[in-house]
Amino acid sequence: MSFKDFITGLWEQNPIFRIILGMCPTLAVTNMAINGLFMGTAVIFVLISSCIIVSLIRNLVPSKIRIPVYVIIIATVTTIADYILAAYYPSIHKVLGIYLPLVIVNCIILGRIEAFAKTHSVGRSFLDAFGIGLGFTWGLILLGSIRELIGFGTIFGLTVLGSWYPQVLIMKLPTGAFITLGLLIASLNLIKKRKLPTE
Amino acid sequence: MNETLHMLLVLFVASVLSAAALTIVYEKTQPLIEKNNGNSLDLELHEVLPNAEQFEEISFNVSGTNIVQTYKGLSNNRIVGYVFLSRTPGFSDYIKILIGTNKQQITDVKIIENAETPGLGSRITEDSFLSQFRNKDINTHEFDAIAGATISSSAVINAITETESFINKLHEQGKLQ
Repeated sequence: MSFKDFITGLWEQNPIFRIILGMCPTLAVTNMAINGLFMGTAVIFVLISSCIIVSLIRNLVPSKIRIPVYVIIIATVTTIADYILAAYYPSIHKVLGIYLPLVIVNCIILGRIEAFAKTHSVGRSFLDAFGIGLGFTWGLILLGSIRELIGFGTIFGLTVLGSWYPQVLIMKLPTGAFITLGLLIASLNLIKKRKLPTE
Repeated sequence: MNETLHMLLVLFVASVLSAAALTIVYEKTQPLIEKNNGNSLDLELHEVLPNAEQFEEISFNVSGTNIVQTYKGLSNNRIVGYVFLSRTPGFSDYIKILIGTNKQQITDVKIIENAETPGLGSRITEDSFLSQFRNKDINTHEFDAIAGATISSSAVINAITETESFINKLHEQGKLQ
C-alpha cells in the first residue's frame, strides 16, 4: 500500500485531463457544478466497490472471460446502489436518478479494473479507485463551475453575476463543454510543460 | 474442452451470485421504495390541490389524451376538485405532470418526473415557469414558453391546455360533481 496510488488519480492520471477517459458523462452533465458533484459521487461509489470486488476475485477469473465477468459486477453494484438509494434516501435518489444508470457504461470503471484492480491487492486497488474517482469528481466540478458561471452567471446555484449578466446559451449546450474542456486541457498541458525543466 | 468448461462455470457462478444479490436487495428494498413513491405522490397531490384533505382515484374515459390517471380531492366527503396526471412526450423522455383543478381554475401544476436537459429543459420544474398556471381560469390558453427550452416548456403548456379542454368536456357531459 502506498499513498502514491491515491495521489496519482488526482493529477498524474486524472481521467478527464490526462487520460481523457469517460468523456461522455464529462461532456453531458457538466453544465452546472452541482451535476458534476452528483455524477462524481455516483462514480466514486461504483468505482470503489467494483475495484474491491474484482481485486478480491482476481485469481479466480480466467482472462478470456474477464470482461463479461467485470461487466456483470459493475452492473450489479450499480443496480444495488440504485435500489438502496431509492429505498432509504429517496431525495438523493431523485437527484442522482438520471446519473446512476449512466455509471454502468462509464469506461473509467472498466478502465481502472483492467489497468489496476485486476493485478493489485485490495488495499492498493481501493486507494487507486478512490484517487481516480476524486480526480474525476474535481474535474467535473471545475468544468461545471466554469460553464455554469459563463452560462448562467451562478456557481452551485449561487448568483455570482447579477441579473445584468446576459446568459451565454452555448455554454449550457454540449458545444460549450467541448470548448471549455479543450481550453482547460491545453492550459494544464502548458503548466506541465513549464514545470518539466526544473524537475 | 476443460478450459471451456472452466470458463462456463466461472460465468455461471458470477451470474448466479449477481442474480442472488440483486434478488435479496430487491426483496428488501421494494416495499420501502413503493412506500416512498406512494408517500411522495400523496404529498404532491396535496400540493396541487391544497383544499382537499384526501384523494381517491376516479376513472374517466381518457382515451385519446395524454392523461393517464385522475383523482378526486375530498374535503368533508365533498368533492372540492380534481387532479389529473398527464404523461406527455417532452424533449428526451415523457414528462409527468400533476394538474390540480377546482373545476373553475387550475389550482397548481407540478412536474413530478422529467428527464429534460439539465439547465435547459429542466427549468420547467422551476416556480418562475409554473407560477403562471396557478389560479388561472380553465379557459386561459395563453401561456409563456421558456426561451432556450421551447420543446420542453411547450410540452407542458400543451398538456395543460389539453387538460383544460378535457375538464370543459367533462363539464358539458355533466360528469363533474
